[in-house]
Amino acid sequence: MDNLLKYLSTAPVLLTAWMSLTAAIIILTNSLYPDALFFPTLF
Amino acid sequence: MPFYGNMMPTLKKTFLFLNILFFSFNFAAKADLSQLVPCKDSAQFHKRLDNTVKKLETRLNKYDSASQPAKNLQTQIARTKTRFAKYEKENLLCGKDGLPHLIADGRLDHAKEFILPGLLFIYITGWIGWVGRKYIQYAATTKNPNEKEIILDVPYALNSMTTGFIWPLEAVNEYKSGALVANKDEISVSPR
Repeated sequence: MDNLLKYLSTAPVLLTAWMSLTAAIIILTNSLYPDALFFPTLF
Repeated sequence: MPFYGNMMPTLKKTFLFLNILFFSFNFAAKADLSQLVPCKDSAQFHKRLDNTVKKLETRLNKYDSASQPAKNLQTQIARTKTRFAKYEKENLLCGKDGLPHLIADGRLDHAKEFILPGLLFIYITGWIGWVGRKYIQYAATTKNPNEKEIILDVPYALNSMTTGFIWPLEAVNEYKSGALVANKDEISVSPR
């Protein structure tokens, strides 16, 4: 278990996880709020 | 002149800061917008909308209206109309090409087109950078700094990531306490 955690904590593994997460957030944002040409404002 | 000598770096910094403020707000060149008209008054803009919708409708006619491609095209038509309506409503300026042009010269009535997204960008990149700096400084205090940068201390990293949103405040505090920048005697200079 310790070794697995150590493996999951290495920089390349974390980078892959982080970039996948970032990609998912950006894809979801664009799908839920398409054509964001400007910043949405209330005023 | 010890007094004057000690005052110099602070004076210089203040002067530089004022200069940056002055030039970024007062003398920012304002672009000439006379070529642009509000999108809702632009004939080319409406023509573009009609053409886009017409093209999609031509494609739509090739499919049975209950089929999946037809449904997708209908969604696309609806989204196109929403998009154009949004550009009209938000007072974007259109060029002769009938496309909205974003104004990025710093005027506040077009802030949502460049200033606000720009500030958000600086905030997010600052957040990432601040947390990275914090982690590297933390790693340097451990007994094996190189390894801490290859095998990360995930609990510490997550903790600093989630609390990093107040980075502008932390940066100001560190600047005041002198921890933001390194001491002058720690900076190497070339022999002169």
